[in-house]
Amino acid sequence: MKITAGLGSIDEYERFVNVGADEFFCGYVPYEWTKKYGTVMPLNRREVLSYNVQIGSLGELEILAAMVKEYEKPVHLTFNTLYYIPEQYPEIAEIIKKCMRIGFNSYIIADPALILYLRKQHIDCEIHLSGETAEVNSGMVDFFQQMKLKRVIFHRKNTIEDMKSVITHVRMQNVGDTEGKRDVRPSQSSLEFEAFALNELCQFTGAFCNSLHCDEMGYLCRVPYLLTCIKNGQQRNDYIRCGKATSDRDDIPGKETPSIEIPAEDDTGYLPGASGCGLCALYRLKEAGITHLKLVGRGNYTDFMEKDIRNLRRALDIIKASKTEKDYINSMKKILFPYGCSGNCYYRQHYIEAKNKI
Amino acid sequence: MKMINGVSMIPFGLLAGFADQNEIRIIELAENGFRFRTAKDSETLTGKIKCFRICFYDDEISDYREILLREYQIEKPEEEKFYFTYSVFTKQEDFRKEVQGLLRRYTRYIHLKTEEDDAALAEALTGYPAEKDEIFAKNLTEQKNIWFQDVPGTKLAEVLHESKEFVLELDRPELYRMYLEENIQDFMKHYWEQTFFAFSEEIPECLPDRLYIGNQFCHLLFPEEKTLKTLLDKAYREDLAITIVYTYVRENLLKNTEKMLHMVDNWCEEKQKDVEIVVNDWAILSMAKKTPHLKLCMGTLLNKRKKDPRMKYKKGTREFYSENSLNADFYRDFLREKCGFQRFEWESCGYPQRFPEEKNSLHFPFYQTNTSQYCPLHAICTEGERGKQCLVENCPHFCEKYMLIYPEHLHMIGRYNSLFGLDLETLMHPEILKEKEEAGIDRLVLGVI
Repeated sequence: MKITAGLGSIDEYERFVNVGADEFFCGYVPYEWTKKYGTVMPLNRREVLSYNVQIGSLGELEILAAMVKEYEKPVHLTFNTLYYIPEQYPEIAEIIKKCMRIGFNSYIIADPALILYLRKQHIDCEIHLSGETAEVNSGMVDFFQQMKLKRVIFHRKNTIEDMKSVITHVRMQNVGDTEGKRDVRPSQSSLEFEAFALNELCQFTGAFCNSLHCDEMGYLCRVPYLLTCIKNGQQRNDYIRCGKATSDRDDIPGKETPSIEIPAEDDTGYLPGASGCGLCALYRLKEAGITHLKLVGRGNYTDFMEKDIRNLRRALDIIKASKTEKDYINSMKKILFPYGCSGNCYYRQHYIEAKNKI
Repeated sequence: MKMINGVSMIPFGLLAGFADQNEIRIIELAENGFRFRTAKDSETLTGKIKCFRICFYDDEISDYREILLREYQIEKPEEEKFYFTYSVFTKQEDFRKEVQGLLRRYTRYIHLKTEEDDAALAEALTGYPAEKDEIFAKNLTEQKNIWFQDVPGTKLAEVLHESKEFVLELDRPELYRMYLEENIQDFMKHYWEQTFFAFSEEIPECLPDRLYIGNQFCHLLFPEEKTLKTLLDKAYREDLAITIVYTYVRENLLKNTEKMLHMVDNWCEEKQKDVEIVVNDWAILSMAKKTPHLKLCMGTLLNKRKKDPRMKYKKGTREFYSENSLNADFYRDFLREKCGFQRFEWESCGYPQRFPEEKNSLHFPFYQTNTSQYCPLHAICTEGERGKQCLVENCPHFCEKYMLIYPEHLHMIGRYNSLFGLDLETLMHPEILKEKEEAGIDRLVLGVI
C-alpha cells in the first residue's frame, strides 16, 4: 500500500518524500477564483482563506512540478467541492487544462457533474473519485467507472468488509473475457482504491456534510448540544454536553470525558492519530485490496505530518515483517503506541475485534 | 544585501501577487517590500517585469484591494534547488498602508482562533450572537412551543390545500405504525397534534395527495418488507399516490434493496399503478432499469447545496447560493436521459433558490445539514461520545426516545443520524410556499421531525 499524504505547501514536499510519502494531494485555488467566489463557492473542501492549506499560485505549482519531476512522487490536485454552479464548470476545465500543461494529470473530484463535464470536453485527466462523493458501494463504483476513473477513495464511514466487497466486485468484473465484462478502458482493470488511514476523523460523512466550513465560523458539528428525551420531555443529565460533544478533531477545545486509554503524546505534544487513526486496521485493509492510504493533514503542523508519515511507513514495514494480523497489531502497538492511543478509530468495529483477539 | 524582515508565508488566500500576468507566491511580506519565488524555467524573470499587482484580502469587505506597484527595486535573485527567490523593495505609500492593514487583520484572526472559542470568533468576525449559544429550550416540548406556537395553522392548511400537490412524509417507524392504525383523516389529526402540538389555531382538515414512505437519511428507518407492503396496500386503498424513499445503500444491503425494488415493481404490476422512488444512491440506477413501474426522483443527498442555520452570518456574495449543479443543463440532460430521473427533491433552507424547469418537490420545514452512515446518536447512547461511531447493525432505535437539542436561536435539531435546520419562515409565512410554487415547485412535501 502506498502513502498518499496531504500537502499544505511546496516546502513540505521534499521533507515528506524523504520520510516515506509515496504521493501527495493538495489544493490549488487561483486568485481569480477566490476573488470572484471567496469561500462562498470554494474550489475544494478546504473552504478557508486564512490557512496555508492550498498551493498558492500557479508559480508555486510550476516549482512543485519541477520537484515531482526530480523525485517522481506524484501530486494529485483536489477539486472536490460537493457541487459547483453552472458558470464554474468551464472555469474549472480551464484551470485543469492549465495545470495539465505544467504536468499535473490527476484530480480528486467529488461532483459528478464536474466529472461529466470534463469527459464531455474530452479532458482526459486521471480522476480520483473523492471520498466526498456519496455512499461508496459496488453499484456506485460501476456507475462512475463509465466516466473512466483511475481511483476510488472510500469515505470515512466505509467498513473494511464494504471495501473488500467493492474491490472484489471490481476485480472480478474486469478479469477475463467474460460475458459480463463491461466497456471500460484496459487501465480500469487496475482501478486503485484508497482508504483513510490517519487524522481528521469527522463525526459526519463528508459527502453529506453541507454545512459551512469557513474562516469566520466553526463547524456546525462543533456547536454545543444537549441530549433530550422525546417522550417525556426530560433531558438525560448524564449526557448533557456529553463526551466529545464538539468534535473529534485535535484542534478543537471540548469538554471531554476521560478516554478509556490514556493518550500518551511525546514531548512535543504529538500522538499518532490523535484526531483519527486507522493504524490497527492496516493489515486488514491490505487484505481487502486497498492500494493507497490517505494521510489527511493539509495545513497541519509540518513536524507532526512528518512524524505521521514516518509512523505510517513504519506500520507498513511492520506489516511486511508480520505473519499474522495479531503479530502486526501487537508489534505496531508496542512500537508506535507504547503508552496508549487516542481511541479515535476510523475502523472502530475492527479495533474492537482486534482488541478482543489480543 | 537589504533584508525584508517581514512575515513569512502569509496564506495565499489573504495575499496574492502577480508579476505582470504571472501568478506568484509571496513568501515574505513587510512594509518595505516582499519576497517571492519562481520556478527556474519560469518566464517570470525580473528583467521583463513591468509591474507587480499585489492583492490584499480584507475580511471586513470580503474582497481584495489590489495595489499596482510601479516604483520598486529588485535585488539579484537567490538560487535554491528548484526556484529563484527575489526580494522586491518599495516605498510606495499605498502598499505600506495595505501591508499594515493585512498584518493587523491577520494577527487579530490568529489571536481569535487560538485564544477564543468558535462562537467568540464568529461573534468578532460576523456579529454572530455567541451568548445565545448558551440558551437552550428546557426540553423538546418547550422547543416546539417556541417554534410552533405562533404558526398560523389555518393559513398553512389553506396553502397546502390549494397547492398543486401536497405530500406528507412518513419517515420513521412510529409514523408507519400510526398510519397503519388509523384512516388517513384520523391519522392527519393525530399527526398535527403529535408533531406540532403547539399550534395556537386548530388545523382544519387537510389531507395529503401523496405519501412519501421511507427516510432519505438513515438506512435503518426504512420499513421492513412486510410493513412496506401493508403501507402500500393501505395508501392504495385510500387513493393516495406513493413515493418510496431510499437513502444511501450500504454495500451489504444492495441485494436486499434490489429485491425490495422488484417486490414494489411486482406490486405495481398487480395494481396497475406506478410508484415513485426517491434515489439517494447511484447504485439504485442500474437496479431501477429492471423495474419499469418505478419512476425515479433525485433525492436530497444527491442534490447538494450549502445549508446551515448560521447562513445569515456567512460573509461573501450570497447570490451564488441560489444555484447548484442541477442548474447546469448538461448535467440535468444527463440525469434525465442517461439516469432516468424524472423529478428532483429540494429543501426549503432559508434562502432563495433558482429551480430548474423540471418537476420539482420542495421539502419543508426542515432541511438536512449533516448526516453520518454510522449513527452519532447511537454512539452517544452507547459510548457516551458522539465521535465513537461504528456501523449499527441491530438498531435499537434510540431515535424513538432521544434527540439532540441545539441553542434555541439556531433553529436546528439532531435527529436520527443527522442534523437538521428548521426553515421556520415557511410555517410562519405560508405565502412563501406559494411563491416557491410560482418559482418552479409543483409539489410540497411536509415532514415534521
